[in-house]
Amino acid sequence: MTGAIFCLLLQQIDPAALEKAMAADAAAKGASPPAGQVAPAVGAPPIVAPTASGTPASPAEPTAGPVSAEGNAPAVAAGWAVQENARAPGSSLLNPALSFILDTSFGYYGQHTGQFDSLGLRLAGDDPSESREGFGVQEVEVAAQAAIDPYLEGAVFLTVPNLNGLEVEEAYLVTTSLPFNLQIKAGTFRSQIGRNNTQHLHLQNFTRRPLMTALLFGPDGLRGPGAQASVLLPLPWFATLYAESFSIGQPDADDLSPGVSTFGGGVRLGPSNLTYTAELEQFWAPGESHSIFLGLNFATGRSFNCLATTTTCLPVETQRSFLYGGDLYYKWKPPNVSRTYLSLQWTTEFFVRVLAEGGPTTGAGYSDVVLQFARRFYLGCRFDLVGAPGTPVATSDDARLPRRYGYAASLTFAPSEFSRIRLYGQELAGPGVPNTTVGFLQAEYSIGAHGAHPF
Amino acid sequence: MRSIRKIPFLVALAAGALAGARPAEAKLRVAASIETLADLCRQIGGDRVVVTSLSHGYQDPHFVEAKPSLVLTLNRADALVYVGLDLEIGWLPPLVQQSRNERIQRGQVGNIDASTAIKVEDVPNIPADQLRAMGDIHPLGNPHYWIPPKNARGIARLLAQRFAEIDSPGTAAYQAALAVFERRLDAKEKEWAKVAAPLRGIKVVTYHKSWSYVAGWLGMQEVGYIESKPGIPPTASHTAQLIDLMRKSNVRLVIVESFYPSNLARFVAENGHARLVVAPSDVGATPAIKSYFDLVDAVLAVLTAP
Repeated sequence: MTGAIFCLLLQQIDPAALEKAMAADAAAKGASPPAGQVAPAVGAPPIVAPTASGTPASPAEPTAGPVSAEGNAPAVAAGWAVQENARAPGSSLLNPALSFILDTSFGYYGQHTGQFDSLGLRLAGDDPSESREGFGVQEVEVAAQAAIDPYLEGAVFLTVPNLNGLEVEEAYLVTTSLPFNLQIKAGTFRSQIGRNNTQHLHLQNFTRRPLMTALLFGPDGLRGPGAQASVLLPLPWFATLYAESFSIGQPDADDLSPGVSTFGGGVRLGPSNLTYTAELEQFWAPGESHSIFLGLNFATGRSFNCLATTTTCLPVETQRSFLYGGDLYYKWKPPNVSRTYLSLQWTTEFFVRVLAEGGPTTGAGYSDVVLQFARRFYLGCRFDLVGAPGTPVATSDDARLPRRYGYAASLTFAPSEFSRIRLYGQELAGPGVPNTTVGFLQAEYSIGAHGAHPF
Repeated sequence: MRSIRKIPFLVALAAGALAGARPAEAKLRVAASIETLADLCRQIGGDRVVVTSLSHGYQDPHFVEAKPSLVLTLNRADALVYVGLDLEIGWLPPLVQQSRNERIQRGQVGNIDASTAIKVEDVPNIPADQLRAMGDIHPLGNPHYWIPPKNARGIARLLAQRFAEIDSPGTAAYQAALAVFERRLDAKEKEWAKVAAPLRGIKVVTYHKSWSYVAGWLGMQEVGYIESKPGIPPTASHTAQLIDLMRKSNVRLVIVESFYPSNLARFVAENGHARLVVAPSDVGATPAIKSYFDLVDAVLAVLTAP
């Protein structure tokens, strides 16, 4: 059906007209450029402004930059070349936009830190860390992004978590020119599931991710080699439907936690071993200052019986596990900051996991509020809920999460767009277990290309 | 399984939307990153275009929320006109990528970078590894260029040329509109030159380095900025030095955009014996500023007010 529509669209082009146009193009080679465009001299950038009266708009610094070899570059390429020439001399035109991002912290851990261990959560920041109190480097990230060609854009995010090993956090291509509002992403990437899962460490408002992300999706969230197709739905409001498929390695026996530590997984053979997700993301802006973002999420993957006391992870024969969840993000930010820089963000996510068909159901979620109370200051607090439904006490033969409550607060000072200093504290509590406190003083910077801020 | 059955239906919906994207007689849909560019598009496009501005004139154009609703506007656009020189780097690139609209991707005729039509100034001549020590500096040059008539003329010509490429049946209409615009601009330029004559040679301090093109056009001399560095809020010591400099060099005006907090600027102006000018920098900064001509009129009115 798609093909048929595509053919119809193609048929709107008159082949004779096309041939004529191409012949005219060929004849024009070496001839004067189109009206309204001054012929660029070889070795000088083309000038876009027409020659009519008035001051001609000349391009930026006339460097000996790359120019279309034929000297009759079409206007679109001409405009582009001028822009490229506006770069400072000596910059490497073909390098992708590069950024280096550092997250470093000084950690304090109170008593009873085993409570985090018993949940399968490591004490330090984003990635699992064996490190204990003191200085640590949560992550060093190298990000490179560039247009690959007129049809694709590419991005690579390499990370070194805790100064140990090199990880490919994401490396993917994404299409820019597919018909029917389709987009394909392929490579290895963070799943679109939920809101927190999509974010890199340095985009977050807290030093540690919500407990939910590691407990239900995987130690570093749900990510892996895979492909994603998405379509922007033809509706009056923003609505995008994503479908993803991942080959996620089977859970590591080292990542032990109640139930399973990762979601999905399996040997990478056959479609039945893949992890599949679907997300519907919708956005409404009721008034200029208000934004509402709602996500509905679903995932299914192979079931494993990795329990806390098990030393091997065996697939549960032909059974699949399921994740259902929603995420809601509300932001209030007046567009005109002349009177106040006050803004507010409120994020809530909740997911339920059914481990193996008809198996035990367990859930986790969080809600956080971040208040920007001055131009460069942000105050955040987050409440985490784990084990709802769950089990009062973690046992090795129960795949449900034990009931835990997390209380976190953070104060962020952002001296500029490129650096942040953050004080973060978190308490973990639960019925029948002692409270545990951790604290971090975190510093974060980004050097290189100015990354855009996704909504 | 049920959701799989829905896919053909969704594809059909999407196809319908695309097929309806641009019938022969439909108007050209243009998205502009700021309201001044939107107005120039309307002046050149006339009734052949429908223009939507992605931001408002009372917003700081560096920091626009990259709301997904803007993705919808971009998805349906035949052309995207933007300031360029990285002014919109913090919000526009992900929107363009998410738009799934080939027509406005970089390198396409519908991707119109207005900065290609002007002479870029303030390209920093400092080593790349020291750029950010200068604050949130624009490495490609100063992007606050759209007020001087010379630049508006260049942008208008670029728009007429690009609109004609996208919508060739409208070529004559675009050229005619351009001629009308330029005639009006010629007349207004003479009028503005008279109005702005008293400004020539005076010394000014501005909040952000966003009035350099205007200062160059009107012959004003910039002696300092309230921001200690671009994008970096002022410090007490910098403010004290600036006030001292203002007193010594007889600075007459302190110019601040209406979207910046003006309390500190007022303090600097009062203590530096200068007049505070809260100036609009974009169409739509106030409801009365509806066009590029209104904008320049309003800027000159506040600069020359007694």
